[in-house]
Amino acid sequence: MAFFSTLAGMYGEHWRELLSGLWLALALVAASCGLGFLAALPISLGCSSESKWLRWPAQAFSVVFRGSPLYVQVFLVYFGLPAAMLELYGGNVGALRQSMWWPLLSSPFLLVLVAFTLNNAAYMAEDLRGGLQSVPRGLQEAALAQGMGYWLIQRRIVLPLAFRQALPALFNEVIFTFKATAIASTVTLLDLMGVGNRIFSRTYDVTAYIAIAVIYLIVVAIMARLFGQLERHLSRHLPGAS
Amino acid sequence: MADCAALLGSALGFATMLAKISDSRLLRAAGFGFANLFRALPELLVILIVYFGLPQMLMALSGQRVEIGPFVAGVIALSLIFSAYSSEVFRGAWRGIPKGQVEAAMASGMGPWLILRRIRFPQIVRLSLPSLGNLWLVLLKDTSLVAVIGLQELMRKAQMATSVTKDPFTFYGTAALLYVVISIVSSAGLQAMERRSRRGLAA
Repeated sequence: MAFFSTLAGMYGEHWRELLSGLWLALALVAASCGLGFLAALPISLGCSSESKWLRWPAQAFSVVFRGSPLYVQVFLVYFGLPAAMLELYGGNVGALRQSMWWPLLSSPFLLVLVAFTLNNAAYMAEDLRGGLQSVPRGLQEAALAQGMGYWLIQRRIVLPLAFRQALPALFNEVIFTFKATAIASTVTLLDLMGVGNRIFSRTYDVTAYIAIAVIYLIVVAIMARLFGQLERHLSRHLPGAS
Repeated sequence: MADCAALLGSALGFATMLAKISDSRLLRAAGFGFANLFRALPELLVILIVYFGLPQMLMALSGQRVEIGPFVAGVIALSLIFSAYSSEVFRGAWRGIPKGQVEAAMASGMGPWLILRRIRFPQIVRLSLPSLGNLWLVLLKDTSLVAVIGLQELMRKAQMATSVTKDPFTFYGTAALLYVVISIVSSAGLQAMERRSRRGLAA
């Protein structure tokens, strides 16, 4: 029982911090999933393209970003990108400050966002590729016979069907991304996990971690419920869907 | 590290699956609760809670000072997560076994344990291998997170090399590529395992 009063005290004392951490995590999820999805569209088309020159780079991108841990990618972008850019400017920090890249390089949030977006793009492209494969070939041939061009067929026939097929997997990606925001805390961002770390380092009380664990659980449960309802809503016209 | 966690996690996952499909409502609720809990929490958070929280909990229970090293803490945390995900995979595979086979085994006079060992288990392994392979790849990448509690694995080595040479791009890039190589090699191995597990089955 003492444990629960400590837990309640944790929320009472730090709710402002925790809320701002949650807000940052959700902002990161929304931005990286939105941008990642936009990037995933051309990549998934590239992966299933007939041209070798389009397929190869798209597949390489997908293998590299799905084969290495997001944690490593965040470090690579957060520490590596500024260092690489500095090299590019001949080690001249002043010139780098003047350049158009400075706003990006000086913001931890944007750097982490870049890493998360690349990672999401690779995973979402894979989900979309599965969706693309599920679109019956006959539909595309029928559209072709109607005199529709390639892009019109993609836009009107293939992408909407692929999207609906891939939706459950894409929603999973969003939930995974929310869990993955914890990694942002390792590069000084004060997301939910970062706030938990800070409280823990002040109090050395593991209840801090339990407190944020409860928040993660609640948010994931809400997301899962919400996405489930959306999926049912989008497939309500299909036979067998209740 | 990933080996230990995968072995422990699979065993624990199988037990959790048995709980999930059991007739007892209490066991079922415990199984689902456990699995959903560890599927919803960030891996990093589980690692930290095990590393910092478990010693305190054990101390409160036993009254003795208990030390848990980063390796053990990492293995425990990753096993818990792996078992949560794999229990779901095993549950799907359990359902994939035709009921008739179990009834036929029962009619031949086999007891429940014998059926589990001879009929169900071999098929569950075959049916769940593809998904377990995916989980293995996820687990492999999660091991990098244990660097947070200071274990000297690939990622931690890259961090140390970077702090000496001030050349982050090269070392994190190398670490990333090493993970990619390990991933590619293991997925090739997994495919070979899947083919072997399907031997004797009509294509």
